[in-house]
Amino acid sequence: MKTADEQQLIFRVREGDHQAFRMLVERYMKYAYNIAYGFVNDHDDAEDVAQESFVKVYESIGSFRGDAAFNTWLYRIVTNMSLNRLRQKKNSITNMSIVENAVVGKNDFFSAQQNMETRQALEKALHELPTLQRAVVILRHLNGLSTRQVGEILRCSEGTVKTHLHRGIKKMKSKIGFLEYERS
Amino acid sequence: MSVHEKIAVQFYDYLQGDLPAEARRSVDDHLATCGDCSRELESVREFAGLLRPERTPAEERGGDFWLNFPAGVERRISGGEKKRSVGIVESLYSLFALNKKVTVSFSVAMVALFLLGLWMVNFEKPAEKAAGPASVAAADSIPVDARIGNYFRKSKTLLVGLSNIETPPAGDVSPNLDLEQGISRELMAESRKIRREPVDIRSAELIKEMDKLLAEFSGIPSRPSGQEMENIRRQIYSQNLLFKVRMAETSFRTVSRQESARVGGRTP
Repeated sequence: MKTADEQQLIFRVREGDHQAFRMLVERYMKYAYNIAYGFVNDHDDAEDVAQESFVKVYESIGSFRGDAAFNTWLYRIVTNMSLNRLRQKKNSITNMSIVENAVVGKNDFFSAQQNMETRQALEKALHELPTLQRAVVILRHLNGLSTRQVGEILRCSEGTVKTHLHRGIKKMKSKIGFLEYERS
Repeated sequence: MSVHEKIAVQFYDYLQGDLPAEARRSVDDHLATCGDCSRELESVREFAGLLRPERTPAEERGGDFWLNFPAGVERRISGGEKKRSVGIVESLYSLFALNKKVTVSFSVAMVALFLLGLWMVNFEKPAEKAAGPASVAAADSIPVDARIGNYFRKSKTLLVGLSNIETPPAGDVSPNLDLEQGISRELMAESRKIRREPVDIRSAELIKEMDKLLAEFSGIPSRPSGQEMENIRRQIYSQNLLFKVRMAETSFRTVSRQESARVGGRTP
């Protein structure tokens, strides 16, 4: 979608045009869903977070000034909502339980050809990363966003994004190596 | 950060082909002389491949899920609007129950609003009478009123947006207001067309005030300074433009609903 068309669409949404809002939702719903899932690792929660993010967009569209691209703004909302959801869940159940509930009997991000243990190890390692490193891995690697866009979403420099990605991957590799050592 | 770490943080972008040419050359030059970093690069390549999903979570949901997703969002919005209304009623009730001063102030404000509304209705009637039968017939036509209503609705949206724009701290980049300035030029063009039609005096005066503000706003740079934005906002507040435009928009919305009902109820 061209930027000028999108600007027009956003203006129509700000005027209360429901059809224009629906078009925006249809355009970005899958991207929002994938980002949410990367954090919450559960289809029901991802649906909840993604839909609530669009509600937030609808309520706050008046304050969107167009300094950043619309999708950057949307993904920032999705990321913040996902992190809030994780914080809420953390208060009630442990991280380990989140990973166990997410993995057993449910689809997940990782290759179906990998064995179950490796998949569990990868997901556990991802969810045990510090928040910012996890966010960068999810946005940059699992969702294919550019370094620049990830920086805009997380409001940090591109250098910071690269550093967090590097450290996140390094930490995950060492955790998986440690887990495989424990198993052996 | 060591030289090796400075190179290593570039590895992911290097593998994706996202590094600018100069940065890519630096990495290549380093890798040519550093075995450890070359091994680290291969390790990142392998791990990134392991981490990559075959199917995205969105692809795992069926077509029906995505057909119903927008409706799900709309249901939440509708549910939220209903909840907000109930919340306002509840909070008003508790406010009045607890605080007599608030009750009295609110009552006075309601009476003042009622009198204002009465004044607006009476003020508009003479203008319609003076206009004459032909222009009354024109004024009766829905498109003109709908046009004026649209004009005030767009003006309201623009004024709300301008009022809410935050002035960035000194040294920070100002927001880009190209879009808003485009809208204000459209509104000025629309006001010129509206003024050729029979319009009640009050709306005509309000449109004139809007024109003045819009002309000034169109004249400032698209990335205005904090002071320039503040001048615009001051003009909006000092003339109480947002309140006036909201009232005008509401009255034209009411008029067009009444007109629609009247036209719909006419027998052939």
